[in-house]
Amino acid sequence: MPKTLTVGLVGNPNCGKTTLFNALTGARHKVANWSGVTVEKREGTARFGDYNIRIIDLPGIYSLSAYTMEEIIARDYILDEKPDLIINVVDAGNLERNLYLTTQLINLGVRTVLALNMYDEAKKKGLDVDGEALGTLLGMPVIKTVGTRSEGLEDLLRTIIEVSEKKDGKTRYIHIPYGSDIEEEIAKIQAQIRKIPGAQGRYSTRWLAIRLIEGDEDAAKKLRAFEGFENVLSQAERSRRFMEAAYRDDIGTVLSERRYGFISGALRETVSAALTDRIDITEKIDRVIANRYLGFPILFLFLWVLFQMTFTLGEYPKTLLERGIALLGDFTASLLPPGPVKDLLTRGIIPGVGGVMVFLPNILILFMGISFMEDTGYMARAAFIMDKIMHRLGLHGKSFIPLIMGIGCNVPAIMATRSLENRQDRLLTILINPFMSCSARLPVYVLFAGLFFYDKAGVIILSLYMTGLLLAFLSARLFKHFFFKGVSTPFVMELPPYRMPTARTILLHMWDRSSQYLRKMGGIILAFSVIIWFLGEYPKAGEVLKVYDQKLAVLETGHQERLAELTEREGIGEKVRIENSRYAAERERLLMQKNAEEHRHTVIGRFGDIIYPVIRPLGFNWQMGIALSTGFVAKEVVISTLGVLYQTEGEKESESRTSLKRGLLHPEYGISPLSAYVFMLFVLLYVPCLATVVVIGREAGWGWAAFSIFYQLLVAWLVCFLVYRAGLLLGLA
Amino acid sequence: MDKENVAAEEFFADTSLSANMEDYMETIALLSQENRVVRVKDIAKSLKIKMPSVTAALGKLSEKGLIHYEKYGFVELTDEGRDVADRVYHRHTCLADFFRNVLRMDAGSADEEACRVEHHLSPESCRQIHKLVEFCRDGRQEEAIWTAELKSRMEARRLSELREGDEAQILKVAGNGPFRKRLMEMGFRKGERLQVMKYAPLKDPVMISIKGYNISLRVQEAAFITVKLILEEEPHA
Repeated sequence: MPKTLTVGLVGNPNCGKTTLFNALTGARHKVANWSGVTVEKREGTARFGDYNIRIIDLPGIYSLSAYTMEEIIARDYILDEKPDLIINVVDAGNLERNLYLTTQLINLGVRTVLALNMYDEAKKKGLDVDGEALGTLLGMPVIKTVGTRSEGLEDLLRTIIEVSEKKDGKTRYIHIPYGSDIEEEIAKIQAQIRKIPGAQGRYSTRWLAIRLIEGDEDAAKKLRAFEGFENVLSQAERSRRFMEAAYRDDIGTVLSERRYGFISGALRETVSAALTDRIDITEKIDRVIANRYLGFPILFLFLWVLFQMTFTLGEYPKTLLERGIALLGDFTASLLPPGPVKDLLTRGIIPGVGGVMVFLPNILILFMGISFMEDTGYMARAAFIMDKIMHRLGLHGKSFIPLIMGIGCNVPAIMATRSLENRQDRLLTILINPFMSCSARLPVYVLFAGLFFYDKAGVIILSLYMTGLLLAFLSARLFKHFFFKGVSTPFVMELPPYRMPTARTILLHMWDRSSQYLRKMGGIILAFSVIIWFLGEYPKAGEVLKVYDQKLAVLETGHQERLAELTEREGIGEKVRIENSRYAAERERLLMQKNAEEHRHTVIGRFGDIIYPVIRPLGFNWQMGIALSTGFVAKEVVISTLGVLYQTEGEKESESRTSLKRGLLHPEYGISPLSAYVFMLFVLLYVPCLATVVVIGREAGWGWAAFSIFYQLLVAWLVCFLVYRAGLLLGLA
Repeated sequence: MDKENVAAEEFFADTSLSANMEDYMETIALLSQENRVVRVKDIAKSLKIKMPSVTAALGKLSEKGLIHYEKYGFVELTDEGRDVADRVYHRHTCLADFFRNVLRMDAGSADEEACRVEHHLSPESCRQIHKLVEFCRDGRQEEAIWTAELKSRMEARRLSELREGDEAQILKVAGNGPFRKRLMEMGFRKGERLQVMKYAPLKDPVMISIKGYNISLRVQEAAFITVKLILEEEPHA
């Protein structure tokens, strides 16, 4: 029976913590330079001897003072879920700052193993750390590791087990010495805490005392759960006043001075640095990449390449997939007998799920590019370069990345806003993200622009992206003005050194993101394509359609009769041909009407009829109304719905595109180029998709998700109305 | 007042020349130190003035008996001319010294600033400034409280005022609670050394190197950090 240990992985951002996690657990899991990528708690298991070691990767944090969401997550995990021990991962090349967090872990009194990670890089810098001596000073075992090359892992695992069995020689309880005067005050508060039996058992009294003296609201909140907290809080308040008066400085500053003092003392005795005449590569690259003149061109070049790769290169596999899915639909159709099951599969599930599947190549390429930019450290520079502009727009440099990613897909983009520390900045970035035209909207543009604007399609599509950007920024200002009238958050962002990522980490990273996308999207799309199919099929029109069947029968017999008569009189000549084409046109018209009638009868069709008065001022016909309603689920559904509505009976799935194009251009029931453009605008501006709404709800709260739906619909309607009316005035219809 | 100071004070006597002419005298003096002979061409080049204007000016200086100059020949200072040039030169050095060592500006800016004001100061103010420079120099050797205080006040800058490549030591971190705390935790504390690596292409934010890693701050936030500029060379140390 293997024994189980639970271990939390704690460390600064960019210390290689996630790489170490991957190496330890073999988990498929991302690694990045971008601060705060790992917001979600991730788990993996490592086996060693007869132990199962459960490892939890906690968010990258600089401190445990509960300043950011990540810090709160990590701290609450350590305090409330009480792992058996903590692996504190530190960047061996940047020990002084990394050990600050370690001093706080010491305060917490949790058993810790220190992993001196990226030791190879530190050695190249000319650093030599005496791990034994450092361990003795810190009261915890110190293991040198290289996560990228899986070095020192066995040592680390063995030490974890030794510590848990209390067999290692290093673990001991130490205090960071704050000096006798401060210690005295701490002791006073501790004495008060000890009077509360519940609190004493739950938290380290020293830790709680120090947090309270620093005025930590979160710690005070934790304490308020216990009876008799008032005495502790008033003692803490007294102590803080006293210390601040004595030091004429903020107590937090004094304490962090002492912590840094302890660290530099420890490092002086254990680290020797050989002076190397190293030319800093990062500095050299930054001279070019963040250059006054080259910075922006390089950034735009990167984005251009990313775009080209995603949308041009990705087009080839996408076309293949599209064909494959269409063939699968035809094949399934040929196998199954007619009936609801066949309809569900060929008209609901296959096109619905297939519609998401076809974007997989684009998503893979996009995420590969983004992973590369993150892993090299370029993303942080992009934020650095863009901050001034973003700040002026009421955003944050870090908002730039989620916004770019929104061009690929709003769902992961909104998830990426987690790297923003401040809730306001985060909300703002989430709320304007849907205006970034995601790749799912592109097929709609491609179809309509190609059909109505031929060689100007490129310009038309570009104008849509620009409109989205413009409205995003206008909305940002608007929201900032109405909802978030506060000061903007400080832009304290680490710019990690440039690193060359390995192909493996990029691929893992890419796969991690893409599978996340597929899982999130796939389930929802599958469920909703079934629902939408159902709403689009039922209730059946039944009786009403019989009129059309009769009309068709009458047309058929009439045609046969006239044909026989004409052939008899004149043989096969001009008149027969005319009769044939008259018949064909009439038949198509009737079939279309029948098909339309069938759809108008369904739930969605009725909904389309209900909203028709609302969308009529925008120059849309009822088919477009239905397509927009179904498009609420996902933008790619817009096309397939139109395809169904403009479909004539008996066509194969793979032919529906052609009939759709024919139908849209048809003089009688087709649409004008102006309507087509306004339709694209509406698709750009209204609710992007159900998955986005779900993500907004999860990240920002359901109230904001509801607000987002309302706001997007309002903006879409207003803009489309103005553009359509202006177009009419200019005589563009 | 010792002998040297009496001598020094005479340097600040009025030259009764215009700012322009003083510039010529200073340039000729400098060029004659560097080269064996001084040509019109060299003067024109170093003052960025056209040759005919230089020739005209040299004519005037020659009339005053400050230089020997014949057309198309070399330029040479007379004894009286050397005296005047020395005065101009000393005034410049004194002012540059003042900007550099009392106001704690970096060498380049101190020199530029001295060029800008040197012709407009009266001999009295020059003399008084010279005394102040001398006092600070003496005081420093004895670690006098007054000069130490003056020095530290003068050396204090806001981080946002530094230029790319400047190195500095943190004196104080101001600002609101969470921001200040975050900075403290990331290593911005009193006494810590930092370097301004780079300003973003739009001059905001700024990249700072501290404790061996790089961090980006908005200029407006960097203004909350008071630092002491570390001057590369200390000429009087």
